[in-house]
Amino acid sequence: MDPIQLAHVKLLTSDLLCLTVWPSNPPCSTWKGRPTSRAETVGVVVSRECKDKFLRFLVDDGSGCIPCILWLNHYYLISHGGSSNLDLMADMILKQSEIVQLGKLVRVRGMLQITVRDVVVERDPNAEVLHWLDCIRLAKQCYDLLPAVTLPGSVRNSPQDGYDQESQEWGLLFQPKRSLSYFFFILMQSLLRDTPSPGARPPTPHGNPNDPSF
Amino acid sequence: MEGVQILSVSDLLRVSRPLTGAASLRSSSSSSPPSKRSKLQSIQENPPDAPLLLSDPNPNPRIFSPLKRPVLLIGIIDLFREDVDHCCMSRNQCLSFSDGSSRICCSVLDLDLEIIGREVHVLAWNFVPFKDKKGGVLEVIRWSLPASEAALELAASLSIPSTSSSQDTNLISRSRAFGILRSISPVFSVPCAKQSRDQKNSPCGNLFDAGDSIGFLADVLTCSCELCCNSSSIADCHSSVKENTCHSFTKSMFVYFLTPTSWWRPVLCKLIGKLIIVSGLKKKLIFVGGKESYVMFVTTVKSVVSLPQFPMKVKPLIGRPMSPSGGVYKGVVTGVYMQGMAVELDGKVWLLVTDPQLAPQHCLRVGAVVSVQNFHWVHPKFSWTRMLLLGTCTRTSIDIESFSLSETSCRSRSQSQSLLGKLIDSLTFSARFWVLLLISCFKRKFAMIFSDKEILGSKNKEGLVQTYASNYLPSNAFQSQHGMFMNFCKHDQCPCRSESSLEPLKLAIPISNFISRCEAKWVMMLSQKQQVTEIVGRKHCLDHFICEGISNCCMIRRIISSEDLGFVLMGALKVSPSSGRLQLVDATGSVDVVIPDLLSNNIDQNIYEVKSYKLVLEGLPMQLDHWQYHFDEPLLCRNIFKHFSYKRTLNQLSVYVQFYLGDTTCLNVASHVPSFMVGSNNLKSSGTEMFHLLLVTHKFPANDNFQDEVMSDSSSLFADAFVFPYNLYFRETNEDSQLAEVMQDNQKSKSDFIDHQKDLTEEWSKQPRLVNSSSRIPLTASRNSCQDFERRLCNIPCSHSFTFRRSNLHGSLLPGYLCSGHSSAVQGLLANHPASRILLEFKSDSFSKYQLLRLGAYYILKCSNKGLLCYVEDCECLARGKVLVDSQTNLWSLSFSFDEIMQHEPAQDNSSGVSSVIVGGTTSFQNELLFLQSLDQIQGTSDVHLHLSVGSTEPMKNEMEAVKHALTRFLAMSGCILSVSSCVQIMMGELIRPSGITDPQSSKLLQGNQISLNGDIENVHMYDCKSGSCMSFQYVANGDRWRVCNICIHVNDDHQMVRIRGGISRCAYPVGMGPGANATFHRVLVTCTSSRRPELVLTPISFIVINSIKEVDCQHGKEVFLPSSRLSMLDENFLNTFSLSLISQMKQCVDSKLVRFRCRVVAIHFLVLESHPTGSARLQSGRQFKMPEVKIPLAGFVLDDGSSLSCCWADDCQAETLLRLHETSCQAFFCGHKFSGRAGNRNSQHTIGNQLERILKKNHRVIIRNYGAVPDLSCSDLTFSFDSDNIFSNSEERLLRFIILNACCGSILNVLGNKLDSDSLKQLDSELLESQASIQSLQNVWVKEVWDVNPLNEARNLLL
Repeated sequence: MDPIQLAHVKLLTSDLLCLTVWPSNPPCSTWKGRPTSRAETVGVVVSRECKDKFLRFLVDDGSGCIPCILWLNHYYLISHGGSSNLDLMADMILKQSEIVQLGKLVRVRGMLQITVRDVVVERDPNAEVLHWLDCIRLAKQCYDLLPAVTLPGSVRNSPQDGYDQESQEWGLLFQPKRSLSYFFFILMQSLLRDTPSPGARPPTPHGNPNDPSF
Repeated sequence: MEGVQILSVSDLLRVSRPLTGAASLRSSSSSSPPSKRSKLQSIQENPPDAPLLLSDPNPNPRIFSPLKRPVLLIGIIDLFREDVDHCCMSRNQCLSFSDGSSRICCSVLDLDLEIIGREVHVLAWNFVPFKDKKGGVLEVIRWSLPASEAALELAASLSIPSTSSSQDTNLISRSRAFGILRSISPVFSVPCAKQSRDQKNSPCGNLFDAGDSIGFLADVLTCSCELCCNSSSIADCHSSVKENTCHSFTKSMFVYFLTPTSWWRPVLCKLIGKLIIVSGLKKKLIFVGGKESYVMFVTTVKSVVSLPQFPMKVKPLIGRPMSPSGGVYKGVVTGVYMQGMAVELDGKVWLLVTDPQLAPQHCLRVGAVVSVQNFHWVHPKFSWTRMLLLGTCTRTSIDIESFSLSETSCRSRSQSQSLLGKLIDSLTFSARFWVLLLISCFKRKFAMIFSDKEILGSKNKEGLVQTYASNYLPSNAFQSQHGMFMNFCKHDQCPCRSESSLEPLKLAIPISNFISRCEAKWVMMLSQKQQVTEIVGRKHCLDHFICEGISNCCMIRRIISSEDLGFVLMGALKVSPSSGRLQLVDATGSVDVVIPDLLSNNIDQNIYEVKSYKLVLEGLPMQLDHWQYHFDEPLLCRNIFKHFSYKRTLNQLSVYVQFYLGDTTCLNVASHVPSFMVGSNNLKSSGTEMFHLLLVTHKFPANDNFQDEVMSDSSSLFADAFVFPYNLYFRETNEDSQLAEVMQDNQKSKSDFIDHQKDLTEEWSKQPRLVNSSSRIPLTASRNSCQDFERRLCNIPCSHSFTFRRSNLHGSLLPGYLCSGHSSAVQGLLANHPASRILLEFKSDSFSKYQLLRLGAYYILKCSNKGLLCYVEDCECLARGKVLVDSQTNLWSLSFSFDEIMQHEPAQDNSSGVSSVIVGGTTSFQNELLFLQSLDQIQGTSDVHLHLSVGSTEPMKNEMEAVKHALTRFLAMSGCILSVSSCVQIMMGELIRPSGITDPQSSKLLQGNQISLNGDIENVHMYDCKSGSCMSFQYVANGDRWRVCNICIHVNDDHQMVRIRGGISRCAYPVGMGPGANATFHRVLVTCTSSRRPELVLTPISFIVINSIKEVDCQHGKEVFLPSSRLSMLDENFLNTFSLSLISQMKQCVDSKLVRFRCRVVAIHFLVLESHPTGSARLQSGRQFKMPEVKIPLAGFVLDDGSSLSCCWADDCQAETLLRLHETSCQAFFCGHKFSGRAGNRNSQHTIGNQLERILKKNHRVIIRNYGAVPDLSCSDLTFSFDSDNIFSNSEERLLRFIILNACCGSILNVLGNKLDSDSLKQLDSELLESQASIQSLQNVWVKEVWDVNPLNEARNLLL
């Protein structure tokens, strides 16, 4: 088995959105021919929709927005004869759902598409930059290397393949709310000056995704 | 007046205790005084009233006992005549009261001239007996004339009794003075020889037959109007008063009241400010000092003092601006000190009584109301306080307005005749008051050290006070002294003018006042800080330093300069036997001191005056209750004069003082001559004295049972030293020879000395018994071999600078020689000689010598061997490598100097990449205090200074170079002191050493290398105490409540930080150890914990030296949270130097290679939790941040770095960090459905840490396995197993599940680890591995270190 299949791959949203879904059971995505099923991203919550059974939110990592879903239906499962241990899990997930607030920089990992396993609020805004660099590093050192094991019959799609008709619609939805220039501005600002304390930095304009300046 | 009893004066004297009585307790003031008849009746009715007095026993002589029945005193109030010298005050202040039975002193509140010499009824009175019980003073509050007497209208006047009524018609006594009595002088006498011729020839010359003329001066302001000038008789004056009310009394007139009218002074001083008429005067011109002349009116036998018959409204002098003198001050006496010389009024103003005759001393008691006229306002320039002083002079009058009932002791002070008294009389007001304070200070400070006579001196000998004061006071503090005439007449030339030019005077205050002052200052400082924080809006300003979850309050340190304090310290130096600290001591207390340039370890009994010093206050910023800490300002003059009761109230405050010995002044220079030099005969008889040169390399710390050993006469005080391969010799010298001669004879004496050596060598070589087989001299010593030996002797003259500090021999010349004590060739010796190491053992009576011994300093030790040639190896006194130092042994500190400048540069061993630190500061920055001055700079304070001069010959130069080389080499050998960064490198060497799971048995023994380390202390806190009781951090610094405690010291330099842990005894805890201090830790052990983490441990032989300290101030509300991994010792910067890798790449790595990866916890598949074996290991002080008492022997984590999953094994701290226990342990966890985040009440028992502890206490050991599938190891597949048979409750299970789930929801971490080899894997539970097949496929890694990710730094590193 390819070791990255079980790991949470660190991909930029633009890449995550290009993953090819491999029709298997369970369904599996591939990145450059390598099967992946879990991913991790760091970005700002730019949209949030809470229902009884789930919380749906968009995480913008600068390269795109990825939809995330956090299932809150553990209590339903408990009442329908699920394990009593689920209530602890339910409590924790409920708590996590509370911390997903607009404008928060979060680290999300879970099954692809992304069915959220856990959310962590990052206190240090530099964590996002580090995530980008980690994505690049992993891509160079791991993901872009020849796969140890490839799925039979898998086809590496060209980048353009990701933008089929369906994807184009998704693309409109998942277009990055923050421009790439902002992305680099933050990057350079972060790296070229001394370490700011997280609390001392002015709040980034993440909070309002409808702001035209985005 | 029924029931009134009459007391006689003899009754009062017989009882001789303070009494107060009144004739009528209930009757109105208008009631007529009892007639004689009624008096007789009353006496008959109430027979003589001894029972009245005796039936009311007064056990307390300090309280006035009131007589409960009305009593009356009947007697005559009169002046004391000259022939009766009843008391010292009789001439100036006292009237007399006599009733035929006895006569006592008397003072009348509302004195009327008409009662003088008449019988009066004393209606209300106090009686105060004298201390000697031979008399007393009657204070007349109210009086009345008997009805029969009152009917006689006598003129209210003072006159000479008619005994001398032989009217001399020739007497020219028509002059008179009519005016306002402004001031009078005390009674004084003028020697007969100095009387003017006129006086001698005067008709009243018979009055002066007694010898000196005795009298006093009065200043009367007269009116110069025509009416007054023309009035020729008293009657005219009276009429002028009646007729003209527009008098202007401005013209000053001096009236000299000569004996016998000098008796009138007690009456006249009551008339000051009133209009008087003095008639019968004679006009005289009096020359004062041969230069000045004054027109004076001298009294004659016909002189009469009377008051105007008609009341006249005189414009009062009160309030008249007579600046800077004049005016009236009325106040209550609140303190009388220094025999009445210093009187406190109203608790704020001080009255300085310069002449005891000025004050009514009998009545000047605490509680009395006095009015002072004609004084000088002085604002003394005292550097420590501001005050107002009323200075008195010859014109000042002090009048009692109300008698005191609160104090009963009568003072009487005689004119001081001692040298000190003369000194005081010659001073200005400020300086005079300062000397009074100084006397009080010295008497308190040296109460048990010196006698009063030594302190105050005598008529012929100066005391300590006088010596000190006369040296201290500037010349302008002294004023020229004049006679009474001059002083009185030239009053307007104010003596206090010179006060303004005085430099502020500083006082050597008692140490008890000093400590109390420090405490008051500290409380004031903290309360100000509290106010600031309240203004800012914070509730508290307590700062916390958190080490492994334990919160410790941060210390505050303040350094205050002596310039800001304004007083001087004085005392003797002493090593406290209880704390082992050097202290400045006086009879009132002690304060710890730090003297950077103290090199000598022989403390003398000298009194040191420390003018320039730095006060250090350090303690915890406690919340203060202002009411609780109320300090009576200890530097008020009141508290300096009286016995100041001092009780230390602030336990958490540490007070010490730093100063340089070079800046001190020695008050009593005791002989500091070494004992071997005192007896010159001894020196001569012995011929030559030899000393070993020692370099102290280490001190073994004193342990806590030192005090017990004082009794047992054993000791555990040791020091390590090298013996220098040279010995120091003194040769007999002619003490009478002159310096120049000795210098000229230097070469000659040297050659003599060599001859002498030859003789001794021969003698020595003939005694083969002294030579052991290891000696390099063959046993069969022949002439040749002796000559060979001679050749190898090297002699270095130590010319003309062998001086003993503070000794009478300073600058004297004592030729000494350095001789090689080794038989090997000089050059070879110095290059190759192994350092001879000896142990100095200090007996318990030489504790102070041990304490003052300085590391890295040279000392000389007298050799007991009488032979000149002494091998270090063979010397008897160094036998068995040990020297016993007792109270008789002298270790004299030694410093060297050479003709040319020589730099001692310790050799730096950079071969291992480890840099050493040069200890001993040279410069101090602002707010930084040096504790140790470098040895090069303090040659002046060593006991012995040895100057080595370069010889003229070439061999001598070579020898000198050899000595220099040896000195340098020995210093280098004394030990390399590492910096923190170097220490971290050494520790990393321990860390990098490949390791797996080790045998826990082997980790029980402390093993490792000893190093010496220098760095800045970031924090010190307790983490354990053997007492077992719950102690808080505040006691660490104070150290009077513990004997041994375990402390944790965080030491850093600019780059790295290490933590040193271990036990330390109270005696070894140095002054100033705390945050902001630079310290050297000698012989610290580098070892590994059971989890193979390198750590530094204080051992029983570790010795801590503080080099310098800085001010430390906590920032408001700042809590320094440091993750445990940061605190473990390794700085993240260093750890980040390990290359970042991916788990997927680990397969290619070798097993031992440490790799770093950035990953997150995905799951926990195996976890063992145990209760901590040492339950009390962690203190309760930081309860809210307390880490649970949990031990994690093993834990297995599934980590994910994005490239792959790995199975990581960790224990202890690493496992705790991966579990995020330090974050969760302070959170609340409830057994219900909901759990909350951070606990509202942090002290709640519901915190996760507490509950986990409780579970483990019950079950001892819990093993958790996860049988879920990787990577989704949810907590649904957990199994729990325990050691005990207890039932595992749901809530307990929930808690453990929560901990595991929570650990899987953390952010990224840095993990440093190496691949587990197959052998190590086998040690893991095989069953565990087999049961979890999914884990087996993962890469197994042993985690060495876990620390938080700094995203910015790591992002930078990725880009670089």
